[in-house]
Amino acid sequence: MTTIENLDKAFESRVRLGIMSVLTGAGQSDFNTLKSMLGVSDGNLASHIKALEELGYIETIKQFIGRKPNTSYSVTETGRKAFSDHINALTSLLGIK
Amino acid sequence: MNMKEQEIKETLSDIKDLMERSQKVLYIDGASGVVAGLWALLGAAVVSFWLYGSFRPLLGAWMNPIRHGYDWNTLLIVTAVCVVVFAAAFKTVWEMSKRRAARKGMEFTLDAGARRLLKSFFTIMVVGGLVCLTSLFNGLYNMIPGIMLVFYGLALIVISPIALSLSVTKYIGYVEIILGVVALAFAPWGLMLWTIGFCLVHLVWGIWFQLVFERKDR
Repeated sequence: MTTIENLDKAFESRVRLGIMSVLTGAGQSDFNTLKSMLGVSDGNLASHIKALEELGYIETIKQFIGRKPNTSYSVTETGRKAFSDHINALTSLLGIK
Repeated sequence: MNMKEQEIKETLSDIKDLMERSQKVLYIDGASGVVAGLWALLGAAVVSFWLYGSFRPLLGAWMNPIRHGYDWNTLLIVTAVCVVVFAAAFKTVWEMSKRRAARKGMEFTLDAGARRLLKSFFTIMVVGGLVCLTSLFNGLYNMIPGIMLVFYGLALIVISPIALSLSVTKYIGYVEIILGVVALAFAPWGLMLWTIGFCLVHLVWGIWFQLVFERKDR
């Protein structure tokens, strides 16, 4: 059993798991939505977003809504795979399938 | 170990919860589709009776001219029925969906992107309404059912990314557009096709949704 090694170190933080969950559910989401969904501070959220971005798990989408610039985030293909591997590893640790 | 297991379980249920709550989807209440369909049937019946003095146009081709001529009363009544029926149906769907979300403990909020789509939906509906009005002014009553169906179909396709997680909304949009084009081509069948598009399609969708989707939800 090597499942413990399948757990992704990047997801040790609950905030990062939260970000991945929200983005997977929503498809894409902006900073303020993430903040209110997860109930974390600006700085905390920003640093975790940056970390996930550097890993290539999420990407930023810059667009205009009307005239206001709006930055939102979405999960990359790599991120999607890493996230589902992590969840599989968690569930197999529990011995449920 | 037990402690750890508990922790993993909590994490997993948190993930599931967050994913569900963040879905940017208007979970439309299936039962509200049925009610919207009945509103449409009522509207079609009133218009049919006012214009032709009969409910038969709802059931098949109808070639007879309208009763009152193209006067202001007719114009006002047809317009008023359309506006009232659309507003009532939309309000019903909106409120019932909101209540359904509350019942399931889901948030019924719209982010900037969803609000923009909803705006586009209404823009298309308003433009469609204006096109209908111009047809009314020119006495082209026959064309109105087809125009309504086509614009409604387009509006559904535009809003489909946020309405329902199943992409069925888009296909309903296609169905409405096809019905609309047929109604434009074969104008005497207009009211019947309108009733199919706005009443029957909503009824079938609502019942299907209740039976299939709601059951799976449990």
